[in-house]
Amino acid sequence: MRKKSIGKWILFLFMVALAMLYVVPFLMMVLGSFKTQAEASMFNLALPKEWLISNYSHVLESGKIWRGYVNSAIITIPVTAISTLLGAVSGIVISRRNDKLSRGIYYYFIFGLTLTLQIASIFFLLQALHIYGTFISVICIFISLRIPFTVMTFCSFVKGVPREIDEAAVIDGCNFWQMTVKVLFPILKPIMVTNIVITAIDVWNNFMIPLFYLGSAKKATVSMAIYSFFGRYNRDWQYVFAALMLVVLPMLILFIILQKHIIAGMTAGAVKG
Amino acid sequence: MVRKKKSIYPLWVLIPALIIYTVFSVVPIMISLVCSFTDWNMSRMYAPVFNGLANYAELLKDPVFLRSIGNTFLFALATTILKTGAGFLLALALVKRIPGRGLMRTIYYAPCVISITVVGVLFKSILANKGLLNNVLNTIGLGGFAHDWLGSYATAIGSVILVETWMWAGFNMFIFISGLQAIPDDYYESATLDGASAFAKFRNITLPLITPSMTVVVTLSIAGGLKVFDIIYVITNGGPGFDTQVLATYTYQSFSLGFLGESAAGSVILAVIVVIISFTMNRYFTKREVEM
Amino acid sequence: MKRRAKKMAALFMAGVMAMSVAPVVHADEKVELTGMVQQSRWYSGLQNMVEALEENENISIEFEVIPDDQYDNLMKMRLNSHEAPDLIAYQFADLFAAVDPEEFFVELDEEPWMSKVKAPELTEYNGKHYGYCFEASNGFQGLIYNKDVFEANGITELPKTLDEFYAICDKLKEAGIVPIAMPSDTWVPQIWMTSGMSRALGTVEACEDFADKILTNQAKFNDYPEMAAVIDEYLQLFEKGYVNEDYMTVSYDEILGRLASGEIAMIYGATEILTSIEESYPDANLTIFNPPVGYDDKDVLAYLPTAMGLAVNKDTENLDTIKKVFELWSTPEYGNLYFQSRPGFPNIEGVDGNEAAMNPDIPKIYNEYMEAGRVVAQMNQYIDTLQPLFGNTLWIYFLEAPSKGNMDGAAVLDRFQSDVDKFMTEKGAEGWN
Repeated sequence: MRKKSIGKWILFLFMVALAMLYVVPFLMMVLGSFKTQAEASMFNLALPKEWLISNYSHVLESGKIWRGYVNSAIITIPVTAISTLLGAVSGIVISRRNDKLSRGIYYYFIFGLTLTLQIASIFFLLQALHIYGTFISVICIFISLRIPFTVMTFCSFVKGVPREIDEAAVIDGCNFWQMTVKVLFPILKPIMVTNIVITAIDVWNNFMIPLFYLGSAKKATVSMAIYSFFGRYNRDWQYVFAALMLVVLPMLILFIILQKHIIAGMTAGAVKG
Repeated sequence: MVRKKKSIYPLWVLIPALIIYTVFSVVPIMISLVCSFTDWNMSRMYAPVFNGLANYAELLKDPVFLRSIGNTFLFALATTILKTGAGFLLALALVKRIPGRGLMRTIYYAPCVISITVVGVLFKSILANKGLLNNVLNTIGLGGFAHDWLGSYATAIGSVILVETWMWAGFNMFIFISGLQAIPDDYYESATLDGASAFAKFRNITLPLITPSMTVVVTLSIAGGLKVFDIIYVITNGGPGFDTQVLATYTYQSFSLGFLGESAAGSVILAVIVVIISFTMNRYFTKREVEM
Repeated sequence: MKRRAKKMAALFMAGVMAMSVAPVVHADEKVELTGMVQQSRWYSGLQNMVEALEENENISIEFEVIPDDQYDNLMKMRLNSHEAPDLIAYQFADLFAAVDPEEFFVELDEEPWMSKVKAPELTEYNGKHYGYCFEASNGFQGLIYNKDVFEANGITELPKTLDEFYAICDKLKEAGIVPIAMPSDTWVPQIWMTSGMSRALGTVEACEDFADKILTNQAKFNDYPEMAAVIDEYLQLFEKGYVNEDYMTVSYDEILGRLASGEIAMIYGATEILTSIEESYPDANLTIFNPPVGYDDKDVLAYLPTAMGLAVNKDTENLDTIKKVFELWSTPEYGNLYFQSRPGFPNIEGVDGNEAAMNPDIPKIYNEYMEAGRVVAQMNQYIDTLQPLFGNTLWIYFLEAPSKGNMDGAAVLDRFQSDVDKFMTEKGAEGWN
């Protein structure tokens, strides 16, 4: 017993050391964002002599960050909601039917996991559909990119939910939608949270798709907004770090709030292939 | 009776997802496939002319393209091994009840929350000749190891592989933790009663039962590794020279040159490689799951 | 009540529609223009002009700031598909190599300010003019050096020959100072070649003749041995150890900081770069000179007949407003703002380029060479048809050659020649079929 607890302590210390190494890039960014220009350009992990919150107010004032937040939200929220919902109902139907046709559809969706972004082709497609430069077009692209993953995870999660639950609901007189919303969704909550977090992070951080298909400064997302800094703040690393912090912060907070649900979501069968 | 039972799950609810996915993911790759057989070009955008396999032939002649195939495989293989291995070890450690494990799980997962643009800026400044890493090495008296990390092929590709591992090991850890937690405790208890060693328990209980998680992790990592674009783009941009160019960045570069047909051919080749490899891997692992 | 609301709504809608059809009519309504600009050309001077416009005239220009390496793609795709913003910022006349102005841009010959333009040739294409340039020229190319570093190391005379130049470099190197710095940003090292190749040819006529032959496939780069010699001499700098070790990774911004702090002595650049550094590091004591090279015994200066400017998208619905903006900008009240923190050569008569703040060596050297007629444009200008290739091929080779030691000048040019052949064939250019 004693030997075991010593082993545990060694493991603990090792994991703490590794965790400290892991946060070094974050630390550099956080500390750097409060430093003076001279301190920030030294690239070390020293504490700032004086914590300059003014770096943030400067960036917020001049960087169109607020508008970036709004635009990012306009894209991220619908994509997350719609792709999660579509993934959920598709996952339910595909894994419950489990016939030849639905298995075929499943593999058709999974095929999407292997695709790369076809920049030029999508451009022509959007033009042909007359939706280039709209939020709708970018939202649709993101949804289509996320669907394979959501369908895959919901499918395998639903497999782990006993069929008897559905049957009981049907006997109680539920139709498909009532059963889905009232009975299955509460059970699927963990995997939903997992998908919400992963999708939101992915969409929020992506800057290629908005850059190529939004086509206007007014619609620029927060991940794009930081580009107007690099040119202007050549050597002002403190502002660059502050801007990076402002991009990262919302998703970091979202993740920290929802993280305990993620493990639950994956545990209950999301990963059973 | 059977018919009625099936009709509880109406097929038509799949239609919205199918439409969006088909229009915005499948149609574009089809456009690329068709255009990869034409001389599609930025300056003649609307009038591509069929030219057979010329684009493919052109690609296979280009040493940079061949090199980028090699890099793509190297990157996919190395990151899959490292991301899976590191993720699994982290999971084994953090599934135990050690103090602060909640916080540590958050820390290990956190890298994949941050935007790749941010990762690029941060690591470029860490790995620069006068960056954080060399500064630290000099301070602790290991100045001899200081190096221009992104300046030569071996350290550049190595750095990118390690940064990718840093980003995604925590994500895989979460998948493995959930897999480990799903293994019922009584399996271990009865093994202990039978006098099995810790290693035997690991080999005979943990490993077989974790295979489903392994399937997901390996499949996602292989596909992600073969498709890799942004981490290379933001850290080395294919450099030094063209040394760390991978298929996706190569394709992007010929797109930049306006060679749309060639770029399309490149992405078709990439898509074929990814499909074949990830489906083979997936089948292999899924079969093992059945056998266990 | 309901009816009235409906009526009001209809009136409102009509008002909105009227506004969107003729936005300029309502002088007091805010007019919004759109534009796109490269991240590195999003100058503070331009920002000042945009801000002043919004304050005084209620005209706003929303510039989309785009990462440099994506700019050409986006610009071409958007123009070709008629999805481009009202104003497109670019380097003139390079723009015309990238896209066809007759198809996409509004010609501005009738504008009143055109008569005040000092360098109309910048925006000229087939006899018509397609843009508004802020500067008449980006100046000339040369070695920017830190005077304090030179003085501290007892270098009082500028080198006249290549050997003298090497002697200076050796001296600096011995003193522990990096003589010449190059960043991994490929557009900087290539300056040696774009100016060197023109200097090697020696005259404007020779350069034009060379470009004409290269672009019609009547000659290959390696038919001119002096071209390879230019690259070989550049590679010498690396062999002799005059260049910073981290040239494959270090950023341009970082290099500027090192130059200002005296850690390095020289970088090859242009007057425009010099004024930019002086803007960021007002305390540094910097200036520029035309370095002696082995392949140019006539001592010729390479200048930059280019300048940043704006072209007007033919699809714009706000042409009258844009014309008004250019009219306003061409007055000193606005025009001076461009040069407030970064002096330059204004393109419009009457605008103050803030020359008082300019490094006095710049006009001095410029006038000296101009009067002697020893001036050529940089090579990139003559062969600007190949512009789309530079950043993706040739300029990378210029960094790869010294780092790997696998290519000499002739090999670099051979490799580039095959890119040119492929590019021109794809383009369907004359002489390649």
